[in-house]
Amino acid sequence: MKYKADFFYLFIIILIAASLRLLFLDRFPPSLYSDEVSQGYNAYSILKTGKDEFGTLLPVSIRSFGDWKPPLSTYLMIPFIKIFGLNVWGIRLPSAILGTLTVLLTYYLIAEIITILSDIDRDEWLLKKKKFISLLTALFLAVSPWHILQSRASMLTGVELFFFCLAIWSFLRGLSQKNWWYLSSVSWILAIYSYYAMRLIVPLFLGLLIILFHKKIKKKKKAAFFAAILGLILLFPLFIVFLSNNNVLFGRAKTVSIFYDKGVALTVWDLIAQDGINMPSKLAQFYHNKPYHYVIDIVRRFFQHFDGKFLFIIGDQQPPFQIPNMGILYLIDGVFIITGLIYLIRRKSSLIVFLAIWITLSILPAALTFMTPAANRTFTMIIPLMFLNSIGVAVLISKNRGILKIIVVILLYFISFSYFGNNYFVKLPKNNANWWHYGYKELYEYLKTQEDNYSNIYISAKTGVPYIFLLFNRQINPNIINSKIHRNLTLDEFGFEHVDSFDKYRFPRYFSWEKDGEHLSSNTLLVLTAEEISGPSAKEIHQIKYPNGGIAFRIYQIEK
Amino acid sequence: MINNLKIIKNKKFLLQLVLIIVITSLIRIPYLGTIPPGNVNALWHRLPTALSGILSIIIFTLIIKVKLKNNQLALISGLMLALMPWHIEQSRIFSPVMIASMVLLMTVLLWNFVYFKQYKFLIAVCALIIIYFVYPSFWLFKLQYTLPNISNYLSNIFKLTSVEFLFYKNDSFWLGGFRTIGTMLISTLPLLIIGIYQIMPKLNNKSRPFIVIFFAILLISAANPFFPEEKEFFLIYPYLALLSGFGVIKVFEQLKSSNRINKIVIIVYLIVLSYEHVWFFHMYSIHYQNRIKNEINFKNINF
Repeated sequence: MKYKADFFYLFIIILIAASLRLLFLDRFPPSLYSDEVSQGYNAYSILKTGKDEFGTLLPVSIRSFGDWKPPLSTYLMIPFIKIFGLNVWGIRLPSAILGTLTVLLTYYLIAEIITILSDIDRDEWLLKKKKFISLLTALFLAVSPWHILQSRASMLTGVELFFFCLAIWSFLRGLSQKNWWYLSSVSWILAIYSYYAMRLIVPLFLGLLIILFHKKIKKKKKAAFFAAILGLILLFPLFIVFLSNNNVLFGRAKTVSIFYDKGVALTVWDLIAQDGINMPSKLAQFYHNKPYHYVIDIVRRFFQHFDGKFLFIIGDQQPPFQIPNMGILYLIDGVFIITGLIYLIRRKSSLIVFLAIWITLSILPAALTFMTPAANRTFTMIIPLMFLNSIGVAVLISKNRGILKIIVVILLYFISFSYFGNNYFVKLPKNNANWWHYGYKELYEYLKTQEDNYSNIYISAKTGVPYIFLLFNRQINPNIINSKIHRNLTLDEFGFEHVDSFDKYRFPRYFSWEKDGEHLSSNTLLVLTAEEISGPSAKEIHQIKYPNGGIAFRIYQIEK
Repeated sequence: MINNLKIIKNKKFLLQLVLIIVITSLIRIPYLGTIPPGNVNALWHRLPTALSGILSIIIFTLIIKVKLKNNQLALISGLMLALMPWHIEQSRIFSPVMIASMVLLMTVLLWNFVYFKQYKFLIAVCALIIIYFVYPSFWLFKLQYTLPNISNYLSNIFKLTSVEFLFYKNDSFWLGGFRTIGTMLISTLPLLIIGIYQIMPKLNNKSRPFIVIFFAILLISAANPFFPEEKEFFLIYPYLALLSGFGVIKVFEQLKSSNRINKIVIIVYLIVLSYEHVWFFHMYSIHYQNRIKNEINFKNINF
């Protein structure tokens, strides 16, 4: 009877997760971000031709804007684009479905972790509360603002988390039934194909699991060996292409790395200069050197991810990963996470070491970049945080059992969720549509009605990558792209490649009216963002507006 | 009735305490009027603060010895406090909050030797009166300001408990403060974490008053209308020093008892810890001085 009750609760939680992730994907978030559009169009191109927009056959890395996106998310879109078409649903459904499945998987994963690790400590209380804590973790993940945000957009992390959790769960299952290791092996490799951070996390995490369970693995050496071989075979395509092009492995990771940024080097140079000529140079270098400054910078960026402001108040400041007026966790989560942590520390549980290493490895890739704190690159730490959250709630409810405590907890979460719902489903689409590159769809729909009247159409690429929205919205035949497109493969200051033109459309990277305005001929349309300035010969003929009435684009006709 | 006047019987402890006092004094007294740069009266303005700083370390050490009955922990915590950047910074300028903190520590120490509650209350009242005169700028003494809203208040709390503030950028005292260094050095963070891990299982009802005081300081500092210019949070330093002390003891225990690889790791860590302290003194004596000279009109202010 209790068995059926647990499944009933789990079913309700999955239902909640599914409705928060699958419904109204076309409206929340309000529009497709450029990265989503790029993946979608490349998936469409592969579906039609077997090649991406650059003409690479079955790519192991999607070149996109020169950021070389890991390919799994794009390939997962192919069947959905086939069924639903090249639109929001075709692009976002895979991530949303896998996000929902992650909630289900989390229940089993947490149960498995508790069973195996609590067995080491003989923590009877945790073992007794296993199902309750597993259900709670799944529930907290289902209503987590961080997880909902990442699941409802196709920004790679929803896919990453699913395969990462699947890999860990099937690994732990394999300790008792070795055939699960084949699924685990496949999942680890698929995780590597899903997100850059996994290329660092997977080897380290797998190493940790092997160290923790080496005795059990030794008893099933043969199965472990063949599972490893399977994984290496799946990794082979990436390795082969890497030999000729190291961007497929490192790609964007290179350009966001702290070693690419000049900040630390400039700081060291400045400090040495301040020491002046009175100090011997070797001594100055002893005090001010790059190794020391890089290490403390990495440590600083690492711990920025524990800042309460980031977690609970303002969140990630990069627009697509931001929820207005709140952080990535509920404020009340902080209380229970700390409670859970205190419980495990006081019990000197080995679980605390496991979770601490999980969280550390999750943050490590982000700490090596100069864009911190980052909610997307540290997404895999959501599971241990929700786990600690659940332990905290379970501890609180267990002490002096009373219905009032449960009611208070439910009420606090209801208020928190309502606050999130208002910010995400009401305020974000209305006031922050610009975060999601809103307006390109409306822009190209308008331009379609006008383009036959003009010989050139200029769209400023100062704040985005307008070309991909053109290819996507018009569903341009991938077979003809390369004959009409002019690419600029010189990386900009952020490490991105651009497109200069496609057919009669021009996409100037650094448009400025003073420099470029005079060269525009009549019979030209010019599209600028609201902040950019035009000149006297530009007559505004149309505006594309955000839902809150703000101007996304101004469309000018050049009259000379 | 006074409980126990003879708290120092151990000569070894006394000698080690004297050594810490010597180290503390050497860091805080020499060139007091010129490092950091100051006006012609800087030495006399700063001397009470410097002496308070030295006294606060002695009192703190004695408190730990009496309360926790652990000589080793007391001495190591005292040493950690003597080397704490924040404490050094505040000891070498005109700092009313340093004097106030010394008075508070003295109060805590005296309470240990007084039995009757009436005497304890009297000591507390006297301390409060002294603090009112030495630290009149404490914002709670002038309840006329607008407090921050709930979002800013939470933000302030998170800032004060962040690694960024504690180990990288202490901007609680902007004009003349160190700014580019935190309250402690980043290499002491592992000691702090180990200390928290050690102390957590031992917390009980007797620890409650100290936990309450910690949160009171945090909440009062976060509510300061002039945030981030809030010097009250400086009162937290005894906790930081004590936790670090626990961490140091654990590290040395591990150094004695663990395997070779762990020993190598610990030795490397201790080298890094030492290097960073040397680096700090270089930053303080050269770069901090240059910045003060360029930024502050130190000739016209009591700094």
